[in-house]
Amino acid sequence: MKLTRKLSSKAFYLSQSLILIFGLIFLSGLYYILNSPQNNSSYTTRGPVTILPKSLRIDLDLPEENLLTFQPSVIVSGNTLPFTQVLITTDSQDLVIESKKDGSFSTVIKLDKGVNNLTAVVFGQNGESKSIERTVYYSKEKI
Amino acid sequence: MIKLINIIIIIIIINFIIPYALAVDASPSSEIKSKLEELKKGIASKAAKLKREVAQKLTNKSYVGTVENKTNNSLTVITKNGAKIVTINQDTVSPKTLNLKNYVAALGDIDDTGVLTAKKIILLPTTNSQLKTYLWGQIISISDKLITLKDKDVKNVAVSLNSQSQVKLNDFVILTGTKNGNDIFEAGFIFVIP
Repeated sequence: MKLTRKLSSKAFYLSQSLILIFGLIFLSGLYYILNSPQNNSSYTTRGPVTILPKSLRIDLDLPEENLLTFQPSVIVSGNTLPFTQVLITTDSQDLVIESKKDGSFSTVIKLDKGVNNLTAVVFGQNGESKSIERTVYYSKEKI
Repeated sequence: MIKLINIIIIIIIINFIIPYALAVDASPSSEIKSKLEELKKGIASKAAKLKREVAQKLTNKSYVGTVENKTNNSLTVITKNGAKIVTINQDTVSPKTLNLKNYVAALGDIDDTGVLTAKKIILLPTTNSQLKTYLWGQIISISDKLITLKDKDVKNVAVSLNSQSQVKLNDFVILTGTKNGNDIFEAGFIFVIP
């Protein structure tokens, strides 16, 4: 196609300005698309759908099994179902604590010199129980 | 005049549009680079923490159990978690006589295979006492110092309490104690479930 009509200077300025404006709009749009925050709820970024098990369970984070300690007390901490009574028993000490909303529990137990067999037990509504044991050796003198 | 305007437009395009278009390309990669750097630092600090934790988990350990096998430089100790190997060296402090079936505590550090290098071996007295256990149940009768519980298997269990215990009929309780020869659970600790 060949332009036979000579463009007026006004039409030329207008066309140039429009090209510039549309170019800027296009680039702005491109930038927005590339840099817009990702939708975090997209199914690709969402984790697997898991439902917390409702069956009775107990895990002990502390103390570690076969721990040798030189301190007269030890932290007992772990996790179970929320608001559950946890019995912590050793050869010379017994106590019951309740787990928090998130199921975590923590307390400090005094140790006897030598071998300490520690058991943490949780009970369900009908008396079913789950327990976990730890052996801790308390030595008064460092080796 | 038109030429001048053309030049101005070209200058505008060069100065504003091209750098802007390049920036669209360049900014994500620089962002990714900085994120990668942050990630690297995070991984390095986590690895160091993990290393410290692993080292901590291997030191100051004890194996408590019965001596099942014995050589000049090692013992096999049967613990409640199974057989464990304990190595003995010239620095190990141990009793003069150590026999098979002795109840011992081996104290030291373990390696990643679970073998404990003993710093000290302690001979422990054999426990003949009744094993402490626990019990859950509902009180169905109370008479003086003896109560009867209905346990989780709906079996009746006779329990002797110490004089300070304050329990009521139908209370749900958690007990610890031992079973005596008469099949009576001797409770040392009682907790009434609220």
